Amino acid sequence: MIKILHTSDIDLGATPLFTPDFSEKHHQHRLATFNALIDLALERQVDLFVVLDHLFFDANPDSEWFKAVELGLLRLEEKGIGVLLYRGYPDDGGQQGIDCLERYYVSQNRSAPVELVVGAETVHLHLLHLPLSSETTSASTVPSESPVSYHIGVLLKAVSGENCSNPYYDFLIHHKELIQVLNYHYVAVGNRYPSELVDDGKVLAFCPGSPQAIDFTEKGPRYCALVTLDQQRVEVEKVEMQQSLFDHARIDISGCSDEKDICAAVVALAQEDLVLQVELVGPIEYPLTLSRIVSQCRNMFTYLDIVDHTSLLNSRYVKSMAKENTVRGKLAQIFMAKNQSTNDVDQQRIYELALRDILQRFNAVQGQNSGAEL
Amino acid sequence: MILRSLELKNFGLFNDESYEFRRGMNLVIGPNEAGKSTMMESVPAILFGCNEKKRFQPWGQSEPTCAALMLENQCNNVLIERNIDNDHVELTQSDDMYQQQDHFIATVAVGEYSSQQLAYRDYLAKILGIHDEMLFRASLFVGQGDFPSSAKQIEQQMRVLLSGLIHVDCDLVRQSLQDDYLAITSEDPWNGLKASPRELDVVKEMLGDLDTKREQLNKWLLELRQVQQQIVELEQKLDRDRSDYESGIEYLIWIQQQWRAEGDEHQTDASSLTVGVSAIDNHSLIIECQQLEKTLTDAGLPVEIPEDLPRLLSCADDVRCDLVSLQQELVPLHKELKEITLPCWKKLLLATLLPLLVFVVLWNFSASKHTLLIALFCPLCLVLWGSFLRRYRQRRLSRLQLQRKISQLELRRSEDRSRLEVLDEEFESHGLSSSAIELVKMKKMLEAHEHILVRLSEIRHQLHHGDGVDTCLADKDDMSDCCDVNHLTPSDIPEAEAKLADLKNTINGDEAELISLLRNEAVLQDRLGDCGKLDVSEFQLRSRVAELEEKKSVLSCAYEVLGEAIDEFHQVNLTKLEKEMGCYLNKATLGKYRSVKIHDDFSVSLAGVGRCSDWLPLANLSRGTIDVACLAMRLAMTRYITHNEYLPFFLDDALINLDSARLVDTVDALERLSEDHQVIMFTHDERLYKLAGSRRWHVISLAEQPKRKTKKRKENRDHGNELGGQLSLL
Repeated sequence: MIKILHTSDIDLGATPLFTPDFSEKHHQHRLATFNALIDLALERQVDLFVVLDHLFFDANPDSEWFKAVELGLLRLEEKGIGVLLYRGYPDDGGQQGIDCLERYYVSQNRSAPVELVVGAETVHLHLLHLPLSSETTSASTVPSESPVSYHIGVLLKAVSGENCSNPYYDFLIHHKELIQVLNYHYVAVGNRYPSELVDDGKVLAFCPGSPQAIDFTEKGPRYCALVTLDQQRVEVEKVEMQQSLFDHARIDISGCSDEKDICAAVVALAQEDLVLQVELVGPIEYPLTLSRIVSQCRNMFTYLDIVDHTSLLNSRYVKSMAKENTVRGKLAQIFMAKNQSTNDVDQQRIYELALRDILQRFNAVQGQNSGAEL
Repeated sequence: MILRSLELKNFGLFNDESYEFRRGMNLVIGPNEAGKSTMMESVPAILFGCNEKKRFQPWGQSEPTCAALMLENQCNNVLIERNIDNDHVELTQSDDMYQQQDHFIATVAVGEYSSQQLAYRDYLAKILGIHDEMLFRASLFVGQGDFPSSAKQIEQQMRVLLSGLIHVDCDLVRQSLQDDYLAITSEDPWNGLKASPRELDVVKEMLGDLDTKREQLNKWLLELRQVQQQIVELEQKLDRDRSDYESGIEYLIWIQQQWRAEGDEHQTDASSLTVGVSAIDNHSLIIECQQLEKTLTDAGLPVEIPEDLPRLLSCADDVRCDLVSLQQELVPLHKELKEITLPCWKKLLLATLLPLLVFVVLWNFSASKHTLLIALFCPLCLVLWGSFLRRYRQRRLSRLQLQRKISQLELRRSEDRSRLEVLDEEFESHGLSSSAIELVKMKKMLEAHEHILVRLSEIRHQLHHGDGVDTCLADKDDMSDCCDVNHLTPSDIPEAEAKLADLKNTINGDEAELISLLRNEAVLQDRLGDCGKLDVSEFQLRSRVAELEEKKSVLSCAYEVLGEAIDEFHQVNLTKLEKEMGCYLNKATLGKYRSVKIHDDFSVSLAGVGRCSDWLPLANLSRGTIDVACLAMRLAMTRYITHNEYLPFFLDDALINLDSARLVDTVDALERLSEDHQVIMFTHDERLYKLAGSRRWHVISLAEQPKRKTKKRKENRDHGNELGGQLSLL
């Protein structure tokens, strides 16, 4: 029996693109995730630690990350755990730091399988390239001196040049038949987005995805794969690894009478390790001050992002404004008519923002106004 | 609709007071700090609430601040009560017989937009025609500085009010929208002009550059994949070819041995074949030998390297090093020798003889007188000469030692030179240059090409002794496994030789190509190093473009819709408003001016009857007429905005700056307008108080009310001099 910890796209040094404010914290989370993977490998006493694609995000990693990686891999080596790094394109340049880990890396050009002996058993790791072809070596044709040998396919999506930007494109499904023909015990897949290929209850191929999300397209828990192989079965255990959980929530604030209510609704979702994007929807009676809501709630989250998709155009305030014999009244009437005449959501959003912009310029909508200010 | 009554409890200065108002003209008079403004502010505070709760809270009072007002019109009465502290509101609507028709109770805090708040606003809109506090204030309240003093100010106020807004007018907003739009992009869809590139244009251009770069990177990526594929294929091919070549050579050697072993019948043939095989082997070895020799020649080394050349070079190098070290030792010794000079005896002798001569002469003339002097001179001479001799001896010894050392070194140098001459002769005998520089270069090149020399030596050895054949014979057992296969015959040898030579050439060519491909791969990988940074930049630029495009669309839409709203307002509403204003003006000016014309820029012209039948710009009229027109138009606008409601009109010391004549004219006009609109004036102006008395206005004197704060006020109240004291001061 052989135990393998299989992970992918650790991307040390990756910066979340949706906000620069969160970068430093995110770097630490990614590093902590890597260390957690090392700890897990030691705790579960795996035989092989395999990282597919993008160990580092950048070709020239920060020395701190590099040292942490070197230290972590040495800890594994000390315990006799084999380490294999399959590099993605960002790891390719003539970078001094990554080259120092050269002994762990498997060349992309390698055609022969990597052969590792674990006790009396042998593992053959075959590097596959997309598109898979029928010429790819089948497990049955690979000679082995060991009586017990396992064949594992290693499929790197980034290296294979598939379109990685679409998280919903599951390339495993498109290559199912060819993967079946390979007759490998298991195919380890490297890609940011998780996917799984199961046939008749047996896991043929599995991609755990990046163990730490980087944006809101990667919401939900993130895993690594603990694969146990023996001649009879393949067992894949998904172990949750993320240091910060990315999630998205939609809150209808039509029932909220003021910002305190909205804050309460947001805070109800609070979780310390949560990176949350909240989408506020529903009609409102006044434009929200998002920065104020965020500042009141952000301490309850690792990171909080609020997107305002509320509608002032459908509010009673604007409807009553439309009754006025003023330019503002005409304005409200025209906007309401235009909004109702289209089903284009984007255009409706433009009308919404345009109305808010004008009202803001007029300084007409001030919820806090009172006689004291005049 | 009129304000019938006002009740204030713990509201500012008011402890628990109730005030009644009437239709027509009302005057609230009192000195400064009497509570006039507080009373006026209590109206919007009751209607809309108050954000600053403590503003009206009496100092030291714990009881709640409450206020209530009753509005009355021909059909019904509306009582609105509010607890200012907790915004608890109670609205009771009853008919003219005080039968309750509607009742609303809720907590409607300022800034909240709860359903109760919205319902309450609907009530206000129904009762007053206005649900917005700011619009209420802007239309019905005139403060001390708010009364316009010129036609321009009137027009400005009118533009703002008709926009439905407080701080700016719609034209300014529209202009700001256009300015912001043109700050984003250079395209001006409204004037058809094109300005210098703005942010959106610049970012788009940067994105275009990035796209080009991305295309280039994609090409390189594709190229890299192809190159890597080629490398893999070429390496595999090379492995196969090398293996084939080696097998071919080994086979030919083996078959030659087979032929030899097969006996006399094949002896002759075998011999010739051996020659043939040897020729193939030799051919390749000779080619390699020639290449190696060429490398050596290029490096400045002789093709035939004497066996003792390394030894000779080493010796020559040692000798030269020795000579250099000798020279380095000799130079300081010579310098030292030159510095050590023997002391000069001539000067000392002269210095001794001259005094001696003098003493001899003196001795001849008077020996007795100079005996002592001579006796002193002699030891002095002895000391001087003794010292001289000692120094002379020391220096001489030092010089001798140095000379001895130098002579020893010179001897060694001459020996080295003679050794060097012998070595030079040996070099020349081998046909090599004996120049020191050439020899040093040769030594270095020899060290650098040692492996070539070793290989060359091996090849030569093989060529002379046929070692390659012997080595290959060791594998004959392996080859014999293939005995049942059809082997080559001697006649096939030339063809096989040619094939092997071609294969060798192909291998050489492929090796060169592989090196080139590997170099190309490294270059491409280096270029692709920035791929990640490019992604980040592209994301940022695309986000910015999307943001700017959205902003552009929003501004464009806002500009268009606002323009549409203004045009529609002009077309539909202004005619009605002009008519309304004409009626009010007619009443206020007693028919002198009956018509109002509002131009596109909201400038106003008036027309009347008789001499005033022509349209006259407001600015051209007298101050008094402007004041009256101002009041009339203001009330007309209020009525128009509130959908024909006749609401009370509040003036807080608004007319205080008018001189007496203008004041009377304005008050006259107000009186006429107050037939429709209740007018409530708050003032400390004694002139108005007198006018109120003479014209029977309803007067509320705040000085009569009990005050909390100052003893002085209490004294005033006690003396019954409720107004005189302070008003006389004014």
